[in-house]
Amino acid sequence: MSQEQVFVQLVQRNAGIIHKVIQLYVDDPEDRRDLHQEVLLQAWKSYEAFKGDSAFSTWLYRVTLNTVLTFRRRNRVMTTELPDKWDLPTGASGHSDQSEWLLLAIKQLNEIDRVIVTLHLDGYDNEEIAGITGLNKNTATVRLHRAKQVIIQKLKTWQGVSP
Amino acid sequence: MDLQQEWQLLQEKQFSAPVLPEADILLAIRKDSQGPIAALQKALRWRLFFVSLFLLFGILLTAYSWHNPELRLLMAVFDAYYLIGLVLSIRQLRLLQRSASLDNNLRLTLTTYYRVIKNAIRTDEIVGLFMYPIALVLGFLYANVEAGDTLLQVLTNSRNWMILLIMILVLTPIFHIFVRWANRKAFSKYLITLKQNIDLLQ
Repeated sequence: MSQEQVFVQLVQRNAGIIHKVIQLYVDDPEDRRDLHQEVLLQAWKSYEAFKGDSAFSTWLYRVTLNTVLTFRRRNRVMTTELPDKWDLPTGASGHSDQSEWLLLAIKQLNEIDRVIVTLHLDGYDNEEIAGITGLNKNTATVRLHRAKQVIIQKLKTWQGVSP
Repeated sequence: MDLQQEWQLLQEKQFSAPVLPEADILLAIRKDSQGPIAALQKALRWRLFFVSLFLLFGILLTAYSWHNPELRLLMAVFDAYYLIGLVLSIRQLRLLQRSASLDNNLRLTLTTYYRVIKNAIRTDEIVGLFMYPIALVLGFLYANVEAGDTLLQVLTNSRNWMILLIMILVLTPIFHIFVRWANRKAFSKYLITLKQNIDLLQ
């Protein structure tokens, strides 16, 4: 099996990582399309240097984050304003959809805290988060704690105003 | 609310990726990059094209004016200047190619991109400040010497100095402002965001 075929299979198995990171950082549909192709291209270009020191999924997560955060986007996710009760997402039944709130709260964090929180929620420990971001472990731990507090606070506030 | 549980729900509802066809992956990895480094490389290749063009023009004129020692000297300066420009541009292009790796940690990647892009823009502005005006000045001197004057005559004529001065004073800022405007339009917001993210990673 050629190197290209192996790469294609690995990417197909881990395509969710690319999809997820792009959804978290990019709203513009055209940017999403461009970035999706750019991530695949950059991953392929860097693949020769991948020695298997970490899992392919971790390596792809790293390349995807780096590509998304260094790409010149037309529009960045800018949901910094506090939504009122009419803007809060509701499920099909009309009840508050808490996972959508979580997504909204994460998108309101700055881009670096967003990286730290999503890596944590995806099961990476603080040492791995430090390795991916370049922060030291203690700083990553503190930043994660603060970002989680911000999210929880926001969710509590929104629960108070939800229809 | 259990964040982990809600996150799992999100993964199932929103983040489950559609199957990525092999053909789409192969197409993507054969396309040209749309990234900022690729954009700079493209701009640099254009500069390389102009420097090569000026150099080729200079070499042809040097050969054509070989019989005239003054013109020969003038063209030697011209050729040396653009030869240095060519070497520096090729070196910068190689540096850009080497810095494009995206599998380092985030802080290193952002810092490298910020430094490389800022340097490339600064170099572009400095080169723009000299490259086109010098070509114009040398072209002016060449045309006068070719018309029958000696280089000394051209350089001691106050009218020529006035024309040269006006050319430099008018055209140099125009080129410089244009290059700065183009770079600012392309990279200013981007560099601010990169810097903000780097600061957040300190």
